[in-house]
Amino acid sequence: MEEIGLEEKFEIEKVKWEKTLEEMGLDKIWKKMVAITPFPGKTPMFAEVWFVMPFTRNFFREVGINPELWQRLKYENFVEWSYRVDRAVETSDRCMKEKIPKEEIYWTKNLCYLSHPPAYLCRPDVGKSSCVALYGKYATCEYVHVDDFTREVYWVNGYHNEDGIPVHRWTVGADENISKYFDAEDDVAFTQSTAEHTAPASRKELDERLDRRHLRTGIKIRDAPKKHWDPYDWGMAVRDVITDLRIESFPKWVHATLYMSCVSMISSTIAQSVLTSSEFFIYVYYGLNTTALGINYNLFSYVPLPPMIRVLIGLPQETFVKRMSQLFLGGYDAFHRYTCKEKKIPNLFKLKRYTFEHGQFFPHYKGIPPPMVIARAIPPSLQKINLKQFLETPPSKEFWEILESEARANRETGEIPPADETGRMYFLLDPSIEPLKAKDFPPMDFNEGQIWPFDITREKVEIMVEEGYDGSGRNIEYYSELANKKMGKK
Amino acid sequence: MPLIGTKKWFEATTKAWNSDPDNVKSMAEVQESILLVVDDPPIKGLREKVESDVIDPEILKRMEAENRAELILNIEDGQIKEFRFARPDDRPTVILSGKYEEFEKVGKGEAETVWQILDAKVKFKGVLPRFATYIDEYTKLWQIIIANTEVP
Repeated sequence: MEEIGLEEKFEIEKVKWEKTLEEMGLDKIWKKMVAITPFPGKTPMFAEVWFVMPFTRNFFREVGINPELWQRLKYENFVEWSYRVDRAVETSDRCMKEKIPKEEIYWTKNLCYLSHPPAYLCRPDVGKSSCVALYGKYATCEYVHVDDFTREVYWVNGYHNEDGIPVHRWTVGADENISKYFDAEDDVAFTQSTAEHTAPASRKELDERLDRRHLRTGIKIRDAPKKHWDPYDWGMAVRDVITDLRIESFPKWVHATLYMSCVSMISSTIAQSVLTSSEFFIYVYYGLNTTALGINYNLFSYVPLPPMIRVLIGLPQETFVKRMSQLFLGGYDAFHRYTCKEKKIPNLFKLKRYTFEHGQFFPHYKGIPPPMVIARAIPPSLQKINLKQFLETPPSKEFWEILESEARANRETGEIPPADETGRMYFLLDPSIEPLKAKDFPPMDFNEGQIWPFDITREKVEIMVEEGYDGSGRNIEYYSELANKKMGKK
Repeated sequence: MPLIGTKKWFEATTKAWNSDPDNVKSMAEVQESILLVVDDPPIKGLREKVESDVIDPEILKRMEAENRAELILNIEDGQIKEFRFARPDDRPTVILSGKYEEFEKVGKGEAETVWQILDAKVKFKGVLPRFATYIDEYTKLWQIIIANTEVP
């Protein structure tokens, strides 16, 4: 069979995607949603996500998204990811040296983003071993970020890891729309090389590095997503170039597996700005398991995909979220924090505050869903889905009522028709457990975060707070058990 | 303008839509039975202003008790064939539900149909591609309904 060329393959995928949008009526709706696009008239890749995520639907309208703000958000997203890992290294170093008392294991000061990408919090000891389990003893993980409108790679940055701990940050490149916002701290971090990090020597070189071409195809790093449709293919295309760069710059690391983690700006910001860890885990599930959303391409990619993740995403969503929470946070649920201060990332802080006040699934769900409700969320889907993929146990009576009336779920088969047949473009969550409210919690510092039991309810939060729990994670087990006793739970 | 919910109101709205060939042409391929579930309808004082022959007393009683009006708008070949209170045996193909004031905002041009739905102020249930194709026409329909509505 004759092999088709890259451009032809891209065009086929593009036409297929546009046809899907058209058949669903989403192309017409998108044209009416000018208030949430920084570039009216252009359709971003993964437009499906823009329709359903409150982040884009509500927050972009709230702040009045525009081209300048779009670029600024890209910068804020970049620095927050980068400094998170730097901070994680410091935290894990400290925790390895100090003997952390049992009651402080889950203290938010001891939790860190020791993951790749650094999107979920974990105990330092667990993070180290899980990183080895996921990526191997020696691994270089580079994050490749792509603009949703231009399809250009605008930064590549990552870490070399030894024994599960990042030991050296490697900034491959970042375009001038990122570096124009650099402050003095960023210039040191991303345009200078030290024992801890390596970067091109100037902003100009940082940008030019993205013009490195693939030896065989001649495609620049920057342009890979313009030639390859799927994020998995972006990773494949970029990985060869990055491999060559690694051989040039770090011959001592050639033995380590090189992972590419590829994502668009919108997906990345959603992952970075989640309110809680359980929320993050459902997005990981959807990002790597897009059939859950009825999408036939990846929203995010690991290249190569760590085998353990392949196994985990085969589980039902609820099981996946619980396993991930157990694995990385001992079964607790954390309110994620930002590493950068508000002065550096003011827009991400606005987004976090908005989400905390309204809840992640506003306006269809008012408030913050408890972790066990999030784990059982039913997403909107472009294809027929089945409840079995999402739930471990049958829905509550109240949840069934909503699933039937709003999603036309079939009680006998568990099937839920696609969005085009019902018009449902939002998540459904179990109403039998009351949503949590921002005011239920002790004052929230978004640079600290909080941590709570996975089984929290408004009642349990109230009791824990009354008994003196401050959300910090210190003595969380004691306060959780005390609340359980008071609530008559075994 | 006729009072909301009266026979004259249904007739006037139907006539206003059907008498404009542009309206009919714009929805010429549409065959939908639209159920409008309107919460908080402005019916306070309606009882005092209308006679029993212009509004069914049973329906008025139910509307007052439930604080909700359920209306059926049957469109065939772009024309409103029927506009009346809903009956249990109706089989709608589209359901739009929300507070009267949210429909009114669209009718008065103060809010866009697409955002009323995405913001869950008006809930839509039906075949999305068909609705998306005629979203401007639905907006026009609300405008005509609201423009022909007098509230007590």
